[in-house]
Amino acid sequence: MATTALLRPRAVVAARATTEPVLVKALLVAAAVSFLLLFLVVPLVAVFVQAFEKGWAAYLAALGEPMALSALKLTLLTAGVAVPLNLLFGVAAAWTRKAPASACCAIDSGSGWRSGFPGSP
Amino acid sequence: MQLRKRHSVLPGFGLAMGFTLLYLSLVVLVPLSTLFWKSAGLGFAGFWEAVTAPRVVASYKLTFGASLVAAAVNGVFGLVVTWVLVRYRFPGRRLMDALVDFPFALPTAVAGITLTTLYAPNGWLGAPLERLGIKVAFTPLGIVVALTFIGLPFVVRTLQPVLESLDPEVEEAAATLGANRLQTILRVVFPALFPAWITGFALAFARALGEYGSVVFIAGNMPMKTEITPLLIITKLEQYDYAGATAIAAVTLVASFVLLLAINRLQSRSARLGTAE
Repeated sequence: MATTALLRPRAVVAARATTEPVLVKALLVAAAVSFLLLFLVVPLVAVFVQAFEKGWAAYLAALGEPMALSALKLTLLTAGVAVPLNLLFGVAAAWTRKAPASACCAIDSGSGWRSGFPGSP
Repeated sequence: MQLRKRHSVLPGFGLAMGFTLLYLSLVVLVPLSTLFWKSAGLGFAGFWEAVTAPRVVASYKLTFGASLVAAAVNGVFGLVVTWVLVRYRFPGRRLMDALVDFPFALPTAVAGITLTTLYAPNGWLGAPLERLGIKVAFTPLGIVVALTFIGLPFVVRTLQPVLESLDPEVEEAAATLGANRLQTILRVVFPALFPAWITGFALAFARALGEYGSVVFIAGNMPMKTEITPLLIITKLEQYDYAGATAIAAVTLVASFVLLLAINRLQSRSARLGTAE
């Protein structure tokens, strides 16, 4: 009796100390989901709705056009050349950075900064 | 600390450094230097006139202002999205994670046309907003929407690995020392995230400054009102005014470089403070 009374509040405190209350969690998830819905999902759906507006046949016909095909090919080819080059550069640039004081800072100050700029799509 | 100064931990420093500098010069520095060289043809008076015309100044204000607002929105919601993706488990989380990269993969012109049809007065989102008296397409607000769309992955993808690698023991230690959850987050978790957060903000901001494709459709491009600087540069290029275009580009570049340098210094200082503590 006495032990459970002592143990129970401790368990509650431990749970509360390393995670957020359920209500806060739900609010944060709701905020994130509604932001992504508004800014990413709705435009994504709109892109596909527009693509298939005139039906499958029109979509496939547009894709089969020689100009569209060669543009697709060119895009894939140039991306296929540029990405390995940037990969090589990114590794070399990261290599030149001395080992910083902590691993966390290597991730953010180093790779984020450099790979973001030259490789921004 | 002295021991860490040696580069010899990793072999091939010279080779890697040489390649990095060569690549950086060929891809970034040489093209950039021609920008200043081209604009120098105007002479000082001509340069000043080109970069301080009222229409140009209005476009600076719009571009920097909208980029700043969009980066701030992404800073707040990007942090929330990252936190939720890394820390919580809920249905649809993996889909949400994959979705974050979508603005990277979508051609910007497609993003622009899609956002314009969505937010046009007869669009899915534009019509209900219009009834509330809010106009999005063809206003500065529309520009902010497009720039927010473009910038979100930068904040999330910069924060995510840092939050994932954050040791849970640190938070447990804070809790055993008597910190409540809010104190732990504000004084233990956020300081560790701050450098990455600033970097993500800066990347989103920098991308927004130069963004063209997704903005031109939704902006309406009215001179003095919704005309962004990149569009003004393109307009001048189309009129074969290369010197004028490069002059404006040089000003934007220097301004954004100064801003990014300031942000980067803030970031590295807070990183140093974070590790010293």
